[in-house]
Amino acid sequence: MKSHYYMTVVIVLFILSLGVVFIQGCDQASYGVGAALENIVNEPSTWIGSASNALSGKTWSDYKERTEEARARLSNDTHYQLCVRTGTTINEPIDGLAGNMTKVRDLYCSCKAWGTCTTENCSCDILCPENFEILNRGGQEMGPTDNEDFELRNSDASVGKYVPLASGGGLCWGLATMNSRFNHLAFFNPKTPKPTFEYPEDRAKFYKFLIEKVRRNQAVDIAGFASLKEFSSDSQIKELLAEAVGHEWSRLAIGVEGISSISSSSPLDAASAASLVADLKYRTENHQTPSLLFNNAGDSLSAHVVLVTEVKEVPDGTKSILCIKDNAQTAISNNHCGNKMIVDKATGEIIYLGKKVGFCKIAHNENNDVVAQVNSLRGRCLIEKGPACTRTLPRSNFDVPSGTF
Amino acid sequence: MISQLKKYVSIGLVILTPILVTFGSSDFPPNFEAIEKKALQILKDKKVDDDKLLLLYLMAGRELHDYDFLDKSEEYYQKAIDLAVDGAKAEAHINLVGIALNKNDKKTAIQRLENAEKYFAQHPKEKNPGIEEWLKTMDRVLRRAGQGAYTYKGFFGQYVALNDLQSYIEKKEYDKALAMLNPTSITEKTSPIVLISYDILQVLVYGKVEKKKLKCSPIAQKAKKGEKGYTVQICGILQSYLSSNKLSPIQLEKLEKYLSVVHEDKKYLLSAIKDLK
Repeated sequence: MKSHYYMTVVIVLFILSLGVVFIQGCDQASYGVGAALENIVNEPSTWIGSASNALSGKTWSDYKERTEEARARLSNDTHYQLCVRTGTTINEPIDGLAGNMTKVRDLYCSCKAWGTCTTENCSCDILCPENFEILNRGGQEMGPTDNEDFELRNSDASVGKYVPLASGGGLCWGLATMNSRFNHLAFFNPKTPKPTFEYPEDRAKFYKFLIEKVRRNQAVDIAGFASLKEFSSDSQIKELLAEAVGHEWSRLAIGVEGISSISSSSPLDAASAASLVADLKYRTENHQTPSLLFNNAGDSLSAHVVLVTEVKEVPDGTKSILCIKDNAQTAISNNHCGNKMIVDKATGEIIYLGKKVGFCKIAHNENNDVVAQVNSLRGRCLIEKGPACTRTLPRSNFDVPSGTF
Repeated sequence: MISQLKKYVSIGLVILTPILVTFGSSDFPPNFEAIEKKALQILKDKKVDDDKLLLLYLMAGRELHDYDFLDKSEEYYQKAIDLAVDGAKAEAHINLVGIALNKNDKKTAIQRLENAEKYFAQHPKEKNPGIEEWLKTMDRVLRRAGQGAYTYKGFFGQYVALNDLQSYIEKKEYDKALAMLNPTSITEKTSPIVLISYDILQVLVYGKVEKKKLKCSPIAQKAKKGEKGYTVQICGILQSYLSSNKLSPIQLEKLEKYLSVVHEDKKYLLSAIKDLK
């Protein structure tokens, strides 16, 4: 029965999507949308039954399927990763191993997500895939180092431990979310000069615009800065970032989803913990840094949000380790899995910073964010690869602000 | 209640999600209104009953909220509340307060909080410990900021504390505001608003303080011309004041202009600075 519901959702979503695509060129899509809507209205029980397929979750799942399909398809093609550049031949004597390697490198290019090949010898779909591979940013992924962490820290020094208002905003969800978005979407170019402005108001407007784009999950170039740490250390920019973090926190936390995180502090059972760990492992292995919303067992008000950067297993296989990027801890302590949650596979018990974790789940904004990031990064990639690829560019805001304002 | 709503989550696809599926979090496409109009017309023609409509509106509100389309989300949550259906409207009441706060519209937020309180009084079964905590928090933030003792603890603790800090400064109760802050923990990494509030407050409350004791001094030293945010500008004003015992009208004018353009909601800092005699 469940699969029937699932299929219905897929079909109707497909029709709905078609409706939107059509309507871009003309107004006939109303028909598609209308037909789909009528289906839903006629059979609401079908939609009620398919509860697990919320839009955002469904779309993230679609990308997951696409990622797996692409991997399966491309793994059968032994040449996909390395293609011979078009129009090149070896007609010079090779002088030693080093010269040999250089020439080989010159002759070949990589045909993969963000690869070096042109569209003459590699398709846009492979160079700029519409799946999680696009999140790897061509090997420029930002890792869990303190350079990729905000200078701005959260004041809740540890979960459930109250520290009088002193060291920061205490807006963990906003900090985690914005940190993750910057890690995925900001392209720092230290060698490009920073734009200059006569008046601080103009500079503020410029960076506010960039920060707002990232907040809305759009890729941006940031000239003159080497890293998020450096960017967020600029005192004027830090003020703008703090404002964006506050906005995100209040949007995410002062609502029903925020309330859900403080309504229960019951620990997960072994099966639920295993399922959560498997989900987190998949996401981290697919270039994502999921936001984890949790509280301490027996203290529902102690809710906190961190990012998970990697999932490992202890050698004896009894426990999983979640590497944590925690804005309430020092940026350096987040390096190389310095902060970790330990998950006991037999019992499902999760320990973080010496305390037992209660309620624990991936934050509700995670799927929406990843989906939007895939779209934006793909748009950027397609533009980079030139006219042959931009034909397939979906409508969106991929414009990257220039140095002038 | 929340879990019950989650059961209906897919229904929310009906009105607005086609757009979101295709466009992610980008701006609304120009055809949005046409699709919305069509969707609403179908619902009208089909004579969908109010129970179903409630769920559809709630889910549209939720999805739009998740994608940060707050104006549209607000519209659908309000439609849900306006339906003549009794119950199952907790989400709409709660998120409408959140949206108003997110827009910095306290007057509307207070009205909506009153509506939410009435609603939960009439539907006590829809309350849970999380909602009770939320109601308590919103009451403090919106109606009783800086009034009486409060333990700034847990998930909403820092939010309430920041709100109280601002409230004390706005009410010119500078000693109470200063008492909230722990100077030993304030460093360059501290939230800018907390750091600069501390510096303003220590000069307001203690009078003459050594310039080197201003937490903002190391930050101001690094800032270049054209890169001065409110922290650095206020720091300059405080440093000049500590040297000359006077406020510089030029510096104040520049700060006022900057706050008007960039951080309108922080103009209360300027009012506090002007209290330096």
